[in-house]
Amino acid sequence: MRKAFILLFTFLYMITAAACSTGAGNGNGNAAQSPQGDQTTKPPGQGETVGAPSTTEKKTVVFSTFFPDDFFKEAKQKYEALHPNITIELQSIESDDANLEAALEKFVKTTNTALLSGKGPDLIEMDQLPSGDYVAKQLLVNMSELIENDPSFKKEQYFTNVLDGITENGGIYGMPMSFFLFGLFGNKDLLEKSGVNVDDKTWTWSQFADTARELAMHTEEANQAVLGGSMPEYTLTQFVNDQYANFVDEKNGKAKFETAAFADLLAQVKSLYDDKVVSGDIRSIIFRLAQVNSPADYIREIRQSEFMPNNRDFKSKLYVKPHSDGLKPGSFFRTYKTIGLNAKSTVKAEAWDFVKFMISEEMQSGSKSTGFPIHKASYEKSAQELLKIGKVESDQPIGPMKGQMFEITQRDIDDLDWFLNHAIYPVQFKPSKIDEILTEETKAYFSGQKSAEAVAEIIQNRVTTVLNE
Amino acid sequence: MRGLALFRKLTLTLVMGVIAAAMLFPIAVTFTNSLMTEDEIGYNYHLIGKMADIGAGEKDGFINLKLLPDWISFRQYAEVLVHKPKFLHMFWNSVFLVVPIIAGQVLVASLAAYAFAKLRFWGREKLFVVYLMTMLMPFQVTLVPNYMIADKLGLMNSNSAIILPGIFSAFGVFMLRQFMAHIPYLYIEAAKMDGAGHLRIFYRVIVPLVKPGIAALVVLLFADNWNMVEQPLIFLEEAMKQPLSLYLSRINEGARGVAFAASVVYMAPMVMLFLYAESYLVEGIQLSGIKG
Amino acid sequence: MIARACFGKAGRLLRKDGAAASLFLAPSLTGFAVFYIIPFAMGFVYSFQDSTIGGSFVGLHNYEALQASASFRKAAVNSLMFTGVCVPLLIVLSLWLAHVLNQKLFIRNWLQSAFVLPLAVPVASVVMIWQILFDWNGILNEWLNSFHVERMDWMKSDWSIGVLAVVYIWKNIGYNMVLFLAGLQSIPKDYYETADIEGAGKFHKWIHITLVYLTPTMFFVVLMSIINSFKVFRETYLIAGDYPHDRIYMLQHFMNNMFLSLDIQKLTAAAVLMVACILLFVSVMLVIERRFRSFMD
Repeated sequence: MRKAFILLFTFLYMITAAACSTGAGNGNGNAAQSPQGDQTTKPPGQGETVGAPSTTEKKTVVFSTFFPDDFFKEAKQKYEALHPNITIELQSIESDDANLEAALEKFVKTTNTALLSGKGPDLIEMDQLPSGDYVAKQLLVNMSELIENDPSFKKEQYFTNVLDGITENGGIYGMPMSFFLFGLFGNKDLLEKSGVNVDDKTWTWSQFADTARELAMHTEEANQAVLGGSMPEYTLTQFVNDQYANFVDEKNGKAKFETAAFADLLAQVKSLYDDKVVSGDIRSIIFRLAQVNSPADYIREIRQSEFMPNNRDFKSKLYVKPHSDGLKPGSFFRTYKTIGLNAKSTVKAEAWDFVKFMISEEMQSGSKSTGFPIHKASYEKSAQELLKIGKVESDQPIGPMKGQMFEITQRDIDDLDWFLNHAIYPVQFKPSKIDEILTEETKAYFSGQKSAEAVAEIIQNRVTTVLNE
Repeated sequence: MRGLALFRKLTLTLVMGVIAAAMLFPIAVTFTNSLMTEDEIGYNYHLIGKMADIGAGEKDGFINLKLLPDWISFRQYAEVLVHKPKFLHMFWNSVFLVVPIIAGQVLVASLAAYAFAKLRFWGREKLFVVYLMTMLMPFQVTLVPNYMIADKLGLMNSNSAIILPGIFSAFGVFMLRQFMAHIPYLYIEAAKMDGAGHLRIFYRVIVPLVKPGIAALVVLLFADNWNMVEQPLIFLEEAMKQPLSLYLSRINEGARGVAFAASVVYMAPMVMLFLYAESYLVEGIQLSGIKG
Repeated sequence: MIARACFGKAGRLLRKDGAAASLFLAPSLTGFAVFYIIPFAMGFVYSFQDSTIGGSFVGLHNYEALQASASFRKAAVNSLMFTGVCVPLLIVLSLWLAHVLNQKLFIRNWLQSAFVLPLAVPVASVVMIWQILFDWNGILNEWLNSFHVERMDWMKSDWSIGVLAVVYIWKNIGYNMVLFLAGLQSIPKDYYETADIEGAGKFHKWIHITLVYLTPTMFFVVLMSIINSFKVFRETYLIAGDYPHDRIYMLQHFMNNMFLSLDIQKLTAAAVLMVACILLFVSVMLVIERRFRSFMD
């Protein structure tokens, strides 16, 4: 009997001991099994400066990305050669295309859980993750502070407009490796001929719609749309975001979609498509939405139209995408491979050093990675090199463009430069929840399956739920 | 009289049969579809989730539900069982997760249930309420603490991170306690008088009397754990260790063809288990037959 | 000597079977404490803090934030209605089913298997069948179309909760049937025989023997049915996403969204409230059950 008592009390003691140590959070990570950095109890907000990376101690920086990437692999090799005592451990999710959604869910959930538990990788690729929420919960290091206090970081070497563009709440919480530009490629010849005033640096989507209607009267070919390549539900989402405050009152948690204003908007967009002013097609159009990935890409897109057969060739120009009312002129960009630093990391100095290495000229100019490099000097160098060569080859495998050489002029680079230096409006990698709801539900209206009232009701319903959580 | 009883038996069987057939409808569809070729499936179901664009002149259509395949083909099963070894691998992963959980929980829970049901000790009711409460917590809440604990115990990315919590869940304790409650205390008294210690009473008297309960526990534990998704998602990092439930937790548009055969293979163990356990479930107890 | 001094008083408190009980409980309790009590307690504590690591005590702040959330209220009401209606319905149906299938019918074991099978169906298949039936281009709409009735987007209408109820009952009727069958078997046949000898009618036997002796099982079934009504979440999530129609936006959706946006504060507060409500209900049932057990003992 006594033995039983002893046994029970011993068990209870062990349990309490385990409970207490869990609460204080001072365990040693099991280095063999869990490759996450050691747990630390350093309070957040203390990481404004991180000091220089160690040159003697053995440190491991765990870097988690969703997809495995050559750019990171290359960076890892080069950095480890320079710093033999530091190991960069790359983690990614293995998946095939069929299971992509499941793998994504796993990545998001595992990273969330790890970060909330005070663990998690030191560096994280943020593209697929809800970075806004991470920032709100102070899970990421504020890189602006690191930049301010780090004398070796030369801000002018980078596209500061992009960095400013992604600053939220007074801080940069993710360092992009590169970025893309968004714009409208337009038929310059036709626009000049039509004499319609195209004020692309300041137009909003509703002004664009008006301009488009005017242009529609000057179309050269039958069934030529003014804007192509955009499905009605996406166009509608853009229009709504244009007048966001009219439809969404975030402070009071009210959505205003069961209104005449929204019904009008739906009708307006529908008529644009019915009148073939805008279409989802990209064959016979004046403008099309496009993403520009690199200078060579830019040249190809611009020059392509000049070599269309059957006398259908024309000169193109990149125009600025319409934006919301009351904002200053600027172009849109989207960052790529944004890297965040875990606020609970124990190897912050080394991790920050690695990030700086990845955006340094060495990595960025040799980069085979897509997008415009964030390191401005690298971009300028590659632009100059391209100019020196003087031409770019088309990348079409078959068809009339195959093997075609496109010329590059300084003018082209200058035009592109304007976009790059005025890239101040970031486009999110993932659409916001409200945008998702809009695109999903309005599809039914535009395909004629549901009435405007039915669609508005559902949207109102769902958006209210989002706003009130 | 005999004829009436027979008639009654027949009608009841028929009525239940019809209802059962309705219950089985989704399963029947899965089964028959598993014998179809991928093309047929694509043709039948390609309209799922899409809205025809009436404005553009597309014609409205409906999904084609075929209960009998036009062309019987075992292609899907070949894909699943032979061509893609990872599928069978995941199947065994599931087995190696579920079997230890069931074995462990039956053992651990039956001991604890006896204590709750028939032994008197201080704090019995309060402790039992604590057991109950934990079953009510949704997993999103316990996920972060569980993660921390698994990490502390060095269990990350191992099956133990899933098996251990599975064994100690309150479910079995609760269930077996309810079944043990039926056993009249007299029998325990009688056994005690014969000089049996608690352990003896446990496996000589109690266990045989709760056999239906244990059978039910095994069946339901299997059902619950064979289908588990959240725990492997978070605690198992490697794709090779994933159980089958994870693979079938999402419908992938591209893999629709194989999904049916995969589902059939997935369901098979449960069916076999139930058919085996069924005899225990309907075995009655004749108390008068038990002596001391 | 010392041990006796220490344990003597404890011994009196622990009453008769204390020692044996600790032996029987030890394995379960150790594992249970580590994997269930501690996480539960931590979750409870989190609901009073403002962060999961290094957070400070904020009292009822999280609960207030929860109250202010209209979506939380909507989710709570929906969950309450769904559980409040579907659980009793399910119990009545499954009890009837167990009763019928307890008798010696033909192909009885096959019939029983037919009802248990839905438990084995993977989520993906359920979702697929669901789509086949209820999609915009689905079978149900096709059927309506043949009657010249307009199509309905079932999952985005007020009917969506009905669809959920059907799926819930379909899946769980077998679950409860297994439990009731085992419970019915646990009632010693002697009692019925005694009743027969005393000339009791079928109905009387049912009320005074079956239902009474099913009380422990019933308690268990009610609680598990409630817990299972929350598990419908996975299928609903796959069909209708994060933010479904008003009618089917339930507590699980709210909590899942809170988790995905890392709002552990509202998540844990909501969970604690939910547990508290169910616990109240459970305590009532426990009282009833205690009366049964004193009657048995």
